[in-house]
Formats: sequence, C-alpha cells, structure tokens
Amino acid sequence: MKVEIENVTFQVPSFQLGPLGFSVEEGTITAIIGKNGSGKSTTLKLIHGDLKPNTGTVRIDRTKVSSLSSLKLAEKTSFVWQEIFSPMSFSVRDVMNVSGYKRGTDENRMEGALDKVGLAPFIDRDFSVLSGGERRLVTLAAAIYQDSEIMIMDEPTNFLDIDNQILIYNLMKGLREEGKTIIMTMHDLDAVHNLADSVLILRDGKKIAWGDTDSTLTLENLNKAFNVSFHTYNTVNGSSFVGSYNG
Amino acid sequence: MNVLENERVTAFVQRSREMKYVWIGFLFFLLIITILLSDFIGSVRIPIQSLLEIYGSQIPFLSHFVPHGYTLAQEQIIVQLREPEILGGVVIGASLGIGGAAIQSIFRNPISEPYIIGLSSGASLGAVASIVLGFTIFGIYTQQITAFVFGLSVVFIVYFFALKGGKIHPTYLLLTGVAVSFFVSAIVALLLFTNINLQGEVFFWLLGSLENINWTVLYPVAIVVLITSYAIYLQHRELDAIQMGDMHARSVGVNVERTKRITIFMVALGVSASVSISGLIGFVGLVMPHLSRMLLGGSNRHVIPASGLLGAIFLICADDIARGIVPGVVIPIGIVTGIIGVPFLMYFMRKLTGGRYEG
Repeated sequence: MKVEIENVTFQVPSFQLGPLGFSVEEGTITAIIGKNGSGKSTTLKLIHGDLKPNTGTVRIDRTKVSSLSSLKLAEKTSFVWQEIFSPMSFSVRDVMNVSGYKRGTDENRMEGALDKVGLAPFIDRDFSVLSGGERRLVTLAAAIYQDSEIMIMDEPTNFLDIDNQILIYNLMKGLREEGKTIIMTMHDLDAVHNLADSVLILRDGKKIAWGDTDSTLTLENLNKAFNVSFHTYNTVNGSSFVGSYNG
Repeated sequence: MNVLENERVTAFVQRSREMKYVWIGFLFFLLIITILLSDFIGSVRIPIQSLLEIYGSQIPFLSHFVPHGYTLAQEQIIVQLREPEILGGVVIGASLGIGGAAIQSIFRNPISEPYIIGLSSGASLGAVASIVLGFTIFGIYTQQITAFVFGLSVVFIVYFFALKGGKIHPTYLLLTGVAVSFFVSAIVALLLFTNINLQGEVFFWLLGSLENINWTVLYPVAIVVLITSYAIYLQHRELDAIQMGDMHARSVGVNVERTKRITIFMVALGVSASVSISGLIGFVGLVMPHLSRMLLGGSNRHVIPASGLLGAIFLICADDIARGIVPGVVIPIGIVTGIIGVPFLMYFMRKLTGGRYEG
C-alpha cells in the first residue's frame, strides 16, 4: 500500500509544518528524523489522519485519509504511540484484545505476536506493573496483532535496552520482508542508516531533505538539521560512520 | 506490608482474575440470596413458609398448586412494600454501578462517577423545585418526573458546552460537568435557603431512600435501566479501547465520538431514571467498578456486569440496614452507605489489594 503526501501544511499558533511532499513505497521502511519539536510526530499524525492538514492531502492506497472511516483506517494502518494511557487494571491480554477490535480475538495470533517480542509468558500479567520497556514491547506486539499493511511507529525503541532495540530492528526487517510498510520516527542515526530505505529530515517544520537513505543521510544534511557538527569517523576495523560526539 | 504479604495478595488477585465467570456466577447467586434474605427484614416478621408461599403465588401456573397459608396483610407487606423496594434496590444499584464503570472508562479517571456529568445536581434541582414551587403538573409523580427531566437536561447542557469541533475531550467534559454542577447546586441551595420550612422533606430526597418505590414507578424505570444497561454493555470493547486514549482507540478502528455519545446518553437516561425514584445515592457508582476491577481485572466485558451485580447487592444490604438498624425508623440510605458502607469497603479493598491498587 502506497502512502502519498502532497503539498501538506499544518499550522498551529506556535508552529508551522510543511509544505511537505513525498511518497512512501509499499514494503519499505521510512524514517523521519530531526530535532525535538521539528514536526516528526506531527507528520505521523497527519499521515494517520489524527490531524487535519491546512492544505494538501494524504492518500493511502489512493484514498484520501480524511475520507476513511475508523474501521477502514484500522484495516490499513496501525500506530505505535510514543505514549499510551495505562488502562485501569488491564492485563497484557486485555491490551492485545483492544488491538484485535477490527479482526476479532485470535488467541494463536495474539500469542504469536507477543512471542515475536519475547513476551508470550507475560500474557496474563498486569500491564500497569510492567517496566517502560516491556510496555513498549507489548504495544509493538499489539500493532503486529492488529495486522495492518502500514505500520506507523513513533520512536519505537524508546525505553528499550540494546538487546531489545536489536530485537525490534530485526522484527522491522522481518515485517518489511512480509510486505509491510513502516513509517517511523527515530533518533538513533546508526539504526536509521542500517534499517531505513528512505529518510525524511525535518527542522523547525521544514523539509531539509527527502530520498533514499544513502543519498539523504549525508553530513551536509545532518549538519543542517541539528545544531551540532557531524563528522565521519574511521573505526578500528576500517569502516566509517557518521557521529557528532568525539569526546 | 512485608514482601511475603505482598506476594500473597498479588497471587490472590491473579487467581481471582483467572476465575472471571466463576465470580460473575457467584455474584449473581449472592444477589438472589440477598434478595430473598432481605424480604425477611422489616418491622413485621413473616415466617419462611409464608414467604415461600407468597413467592409461589406470584408465579403463573404454579400459583394454583401452592397452599395459601398466609394472611392478606403478610401478602400486602411482601408484594406491595418489600418487593418493589428490594427490586428497586437491584435496579438502582445496578444502574449506578454500570454507569460508574462506563463513565470511568470514558474519562480515564478512577475518581469519576455518573453524577460528575451533572446528573445529580440536575435531578436535585428538578426534585427540589417541584417540592418548593409546588408543581403538580404530573400528579403524584411530579417530583420523580421533574427530577428525571432536569437530570437529563443538565447532562445535555454539559455535553453541548463541552463539545468542540464535533469532539468531546474528557478533561474538558469533566471540568464542564463540575462547573455546571456547582452552578445548578447553587440554585438548589438558593431554593432551600428561601424556603427553610421545606428542608426536612427535601433532605430525605437528597440523601436517597428506596422506601417510596412502588410497582407503578418501578416498572418504567426497570425497563429503562434494562435497555440502557444492555446498550452500555454492547459498547464494552469500545470502552476498553477508549481507556487507552482516544487516538489509540481510533487507530484500532473505534468510532470514538459515537461511542462517547451513546454511552453518555445511556448513562444519563438510566441513572436519571433511577435517581428520580430514589433520590441521590452516592458512593455506589464510584466504588463498585473499582471493586469489580480488583476481583476480575480491567476489561469492561466483565467489569460492567460485575459492577451492576455488586451495586445491586450493596444497595440492597444498605437498605436492609437502613430499615432494620433502628426498629420502626427508616434512615436515609446515604447515611448508611457513608457511615457503615465506606469503612467496610475501605477495609475490604485494602485486604484485597494490599493498598497497592493504582486503578
């Protein structure tokens, strides 16, 4: 399912985003990067139809997002939020059941989704007593359980330790191989470089660059997007990577 | 509380939550037992055999085969006084419990209850105005009907004040409800202040009582509560999703605004109808949903029916105490729920959760 963003602008009194125009291909991973407050999460909410653009249109599978009912939207997209409310006395199963609203409960698929994030044994645990990282993994499993073609993720590796970050990166690669389209915001540039097929760089609501990862994630673009200076470092084994801090 | 005690409490809660349907079955059984036992309580003692014969005489076909060894006075007491009062307790307790569960889900706020959307202040205004101003437009049921209409009207005013861009934001609705309730309560206070001689009559209504419930008022209210409770139960999956945030609910496919509209309307209708015949009964709508969550976990699939059952059981017991504690005197039920119900439930909740319940 293709996602097309055409000349989208969004304005609130203290912030203006856009105009943005880009197109996300089916079965790819797109990363949106930029400083805090640059408009990354706002862009995701515009794509998901939670915010209405002042101008321009967002289309999913050639249909305007604004014309999709909640059920149709849930069929096409799932959203991993940066934060969710902790519902009163919910178990992990209850949280998963909410994501099965459209398709109905399927115990096998539910356990399979939790197994992918290593939390199948947690199914009857109280959601509110889980750690921040475990909650994050449950919400990711819930999005997988929802089984939509497009997965929108707002900083999916927040709160996660290195082991679980790598688990999620591998999970994303697996989902891409299954044909899922992933649009996410992320701060870890190393992961973005290794995972994403295309990158959108924002600063103060303006598009700095958009395109395939190799040609977009350049020193010049990164220096424009952030206040720090980026350098290319050579590691001991001879490879190089982009970094901003050299002690 | 030491670590061992903590683990014991957690294990109990875990086991309890795994037996959801057993709990609901048990609560239903407990409700039936409470109803039957409550028929014994009152200033006139009626033998169990007479009571069973009176029950039998009310069942079509069976009534021909049941001996009639009871007096007409005993039949009158059971059928015309105690039964409507007890079944009124079932209907009102259930509607408050179910309404509380639904409202707490919509507001994602553990200390909200049906009255918070303006129901109680509106119904009070209706009842007090009809007493103070001497309305007789609907005959002997004027007070009930005006309480119902005013309760419902104030909820609509709150709802439309809080509506912005076709959407209802929970915190704004909550604040609007509290603000409008204060305003309406001030009018009630003004009416009472200027008619000090009528305060006794009004006082009983404001503290709630099941004593004046008869079959004529109970039938329509029971039908309204049955329909609205079922309509709220049908929204249980949507209400679960809304507890995780409006945007999350929408992202899984829930029509959030429609769910809120239906739920608020159904709660307003059911609870307004209930309080119109009982006066204001607090506490039930706030606490029963929490007690249900402690026993059965948070999903509204179980919380809604359990809150209804617990609300009904609690209110009947409170009414039994209100009728039985001082012979020949009926105490307003609000006093019983406050002085006896609150300490009992606080102790029970602490035992159940070890004081670590976070909603």
